Amino acid sequence: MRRRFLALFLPPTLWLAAFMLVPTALVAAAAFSPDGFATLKDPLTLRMLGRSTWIALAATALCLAAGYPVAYFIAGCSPGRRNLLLFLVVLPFWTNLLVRTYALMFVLRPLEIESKVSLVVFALFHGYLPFMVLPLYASIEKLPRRLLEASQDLGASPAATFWKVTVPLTMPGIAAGCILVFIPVLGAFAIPEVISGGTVQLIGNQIDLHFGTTNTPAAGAMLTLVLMAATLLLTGLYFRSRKTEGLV
Amino acid sequence: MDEFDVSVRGVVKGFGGRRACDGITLQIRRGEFFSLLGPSGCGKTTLMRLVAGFESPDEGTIELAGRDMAGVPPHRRDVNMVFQNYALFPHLDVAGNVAFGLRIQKAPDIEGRVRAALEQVGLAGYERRAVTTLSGGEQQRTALARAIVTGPRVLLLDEPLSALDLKLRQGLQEELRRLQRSLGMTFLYVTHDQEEALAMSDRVAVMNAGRIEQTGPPREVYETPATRFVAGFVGSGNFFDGRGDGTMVRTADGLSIECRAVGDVTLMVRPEKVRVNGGPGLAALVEEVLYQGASTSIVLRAGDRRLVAEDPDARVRPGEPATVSWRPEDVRVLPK
Repeated sequence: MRRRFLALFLPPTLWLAAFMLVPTALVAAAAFSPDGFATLKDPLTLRMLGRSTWIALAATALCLAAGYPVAYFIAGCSPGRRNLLLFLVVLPFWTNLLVRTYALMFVLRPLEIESKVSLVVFALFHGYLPFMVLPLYASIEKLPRRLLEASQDLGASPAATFWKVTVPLTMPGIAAGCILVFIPVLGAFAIPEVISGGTVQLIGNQIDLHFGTTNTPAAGAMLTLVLMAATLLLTGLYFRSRKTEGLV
Repeated sequence: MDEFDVSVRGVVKGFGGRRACDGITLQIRRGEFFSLLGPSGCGKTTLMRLVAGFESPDEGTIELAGRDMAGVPPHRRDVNMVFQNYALFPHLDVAGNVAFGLRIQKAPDIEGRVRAALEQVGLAGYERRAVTTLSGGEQQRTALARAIVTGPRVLLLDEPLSALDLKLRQGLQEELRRLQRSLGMTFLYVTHDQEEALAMSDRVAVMNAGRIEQTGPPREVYETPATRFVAGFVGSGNFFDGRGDGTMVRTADGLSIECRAVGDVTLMVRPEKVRVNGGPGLAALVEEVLYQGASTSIVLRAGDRRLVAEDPDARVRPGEPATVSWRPEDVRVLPK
């Protein structure tokens, strides 16, 4: 019994220790240095963090605004159509992200959009939309129809039913989708790099720069830790909200 | 015409070629406790959903308080429904569920009205309880409070007691009836339980295969069933197919039953009207004696014929010969 437990328990533990804890420890060791702390106080870093945050928020909001109707529509289809539509939602994943981003760049170029930031937000929204649609779909699909009927029966218009019943009951799906989009978008570097031609720098690009070009690993490590802390915080909040029972 | 809260005329509703409602006409008076009684799949729930506005009829009209409901969505109809599985909102507590309709209406004194409604259904003090922690009976009461608190003209109840155990069900039957009387609200009650329908209703409509077979007060439906289906579904009966000549009805297997019917008819005698060894009559053999507490069912066989009697005075045992009789006035004539 004990041996079997060890046999199952040890390999993943060793794996995590070797490829997760050790690198994280190395990153932390590099970050907690005078250079690292100096980065935290650098106004440039703070501006970069601020910009990354609001761009990520904007992309997440766009994903939610576009993803909710899509997920709602799919959930209302017949089972056969649902599978087809879900397949179409994940189909873009079959193409490499960089290839998709270059393709998008060629599509957007004739529109002559001046604002590089807008282009970056749009490209991020485009790239991460499926991460929003899938958890939303899972949540909406589980919503019992009779609760919507009960709401209408009690005098709520379809719009009131949506805001007072559908949205609160699919909050776990909304939270999951927002986190799944917000976290990777906050650290994105390939899409902004390609789409803006390097003119819109996000925190991900900054980390890339520190490690790859300027050879200032302490600063890069500190920014990495900041991102990691944000991720942990959001995930923690999400799991606390999941404890609300009876929700879809 | 205004005295009718619900008027259904010639309503047809099909689902993929099958007609769930096949020409339904009924009228429910103001303040009446009206039951739709029928086996599952007879169309009674569909009819209720048509009245609530969740479905729209293919043919026919539905009027609420004299107003045609064609094209009126559920949220604009002055009816509330108590759903079979309660359909309480899990993200709201008991008070939140009950207040839902009032909040939509932006009604004054929501808190006071919620408290009053909870008192009416015997849930005083339950305001802050999460609905997921309630028992089945408590969920039922919450659903009821939520539906009556806005004072709808008609309350629709879709088998509201079917998920509860017998004892609780009987208690709630009485309570529902009392509540309906004190509110003076029109109740449209859907059930497949004939005892429930007979016990609670002012009038009952018995449905079968999308049609109403008979509408009337419980006693009338039970004692003078209009069709063989009604006779068999509302209570049980002993049936005899035969041909009458004005004094006697003769069956194919040679029985002669005193009855004034003429032509091809079905005769029915309720088990409780059948006497066993109560005098001269049909010779039969006792097959089974089923003791049921308050009553005893005696199953007898006369030739190929199976008869059921509920005679509290009979003292018979399986295997014994017995005579079976009834009074001529207890024979009901049904169209064949």
